[in-house]
Amino acid sequence: MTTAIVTLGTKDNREGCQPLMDSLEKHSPPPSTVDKLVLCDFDDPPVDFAVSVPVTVDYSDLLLDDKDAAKKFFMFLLPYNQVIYLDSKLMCTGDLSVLWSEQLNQHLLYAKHLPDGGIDDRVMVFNHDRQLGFHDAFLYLARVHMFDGYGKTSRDMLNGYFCHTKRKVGNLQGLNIR
Amino acid sequence: MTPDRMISVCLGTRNQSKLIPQTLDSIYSQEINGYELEVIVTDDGSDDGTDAVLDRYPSLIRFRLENSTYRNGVFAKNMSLRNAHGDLIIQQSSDIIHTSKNVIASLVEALPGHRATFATVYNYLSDTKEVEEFQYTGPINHRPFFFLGACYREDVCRVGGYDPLLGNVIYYDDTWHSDCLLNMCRVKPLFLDVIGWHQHHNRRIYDTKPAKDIYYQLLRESIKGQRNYLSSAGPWKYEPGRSVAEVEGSLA
Repeated sequence: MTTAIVTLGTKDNREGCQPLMDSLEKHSPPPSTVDKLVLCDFDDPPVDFAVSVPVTVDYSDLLLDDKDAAKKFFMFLLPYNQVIYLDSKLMCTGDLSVLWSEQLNQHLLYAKHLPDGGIDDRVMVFNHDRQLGFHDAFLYLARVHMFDGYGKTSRDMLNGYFCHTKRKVGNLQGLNIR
Repeated sequence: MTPDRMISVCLGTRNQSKLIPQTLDSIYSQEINGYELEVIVTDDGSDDGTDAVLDRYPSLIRFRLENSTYRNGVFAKNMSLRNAHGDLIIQQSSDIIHTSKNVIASLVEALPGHRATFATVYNYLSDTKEVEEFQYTGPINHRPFFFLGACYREDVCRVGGYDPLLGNVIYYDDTWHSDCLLNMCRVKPLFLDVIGWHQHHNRRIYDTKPAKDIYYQLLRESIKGQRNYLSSAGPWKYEPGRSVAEVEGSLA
């Protein structure tokens, strides 16, 4: 079982990456077997508190208000059995070990369920082995405008996919994160 | 003709004697004014009469690997790539038809600034003459796999072609090759709407896990800086106008 914690560190997201990773180390240090990754642009200098991973897929054609936010979808291509995504604007405030405890393995994706029926994409656990071609399948449907009616954020696009495919997203609740 | 005006079309094939004639006919019908074309096919031990089919194309540059069991296309594709002389490479499957006469010219002319260009590929059902809507790769399915695409030979040499570690397992050889090109050579792939048809054929279903485990490990090590985005047999020595086989020797 290979696991990585990943955050998006492109452009405006870069500033929050180190505070996020530092807060994680302070309040809930992950085991040394869990890799910490920061998704970045090709020309960004590497960070020294995690592994910089250049985003090599072009998402600029997706109909999103924040084009940069789509780069988080690169997490679905990372070569780990389990990928834990944390938004760089978040801070860890307590124990998060449930995220890498290997208990969250029944669904393709775990995220916090919102009252409107959608999911919060700021914290996600992705189980890669449950659908190896998920990234391509998801992006294909996005590019044929299957999710246009859901809105123009990365969250809307993910909600669109899981509504359209009727796949259940596991619920993450009560996490020590703000 | 200087090497930068020479296009090498590189294919590997195995037991596709019924499909490869349409592929080769469409390649040889391409209009590529101002360029020289060489077509290189490596046959990975076919036993279905592919040899006799290839005999019909006297200008073809041919190689044959002898083996008794099916392997990935890695060794055959590498043999073709290592024997290419052009600076411009067309990599494609041996079951893809070029649907117009400007496919190669379009792919090659869009190379500067991108370093890798890909045709849109659809599945073609020859029985019903229908083309399926789903794109294997193209503007709405950005997958940098060389079903039909162009790149520079210098870049292929820099990453050392396809990785032999994935040669005896099925899948992920093209994924890793693309990862290496994208990351080592800073390739920005361009997906064009020139069309290739994949001739539909039945496939065996293989266990993907052995290949996935190798691929994941290679990629993880590269991400963490423990190795380069490089084929385990790479890099190859590159010299303009001389094939890798001429420079290094002819091992696949």
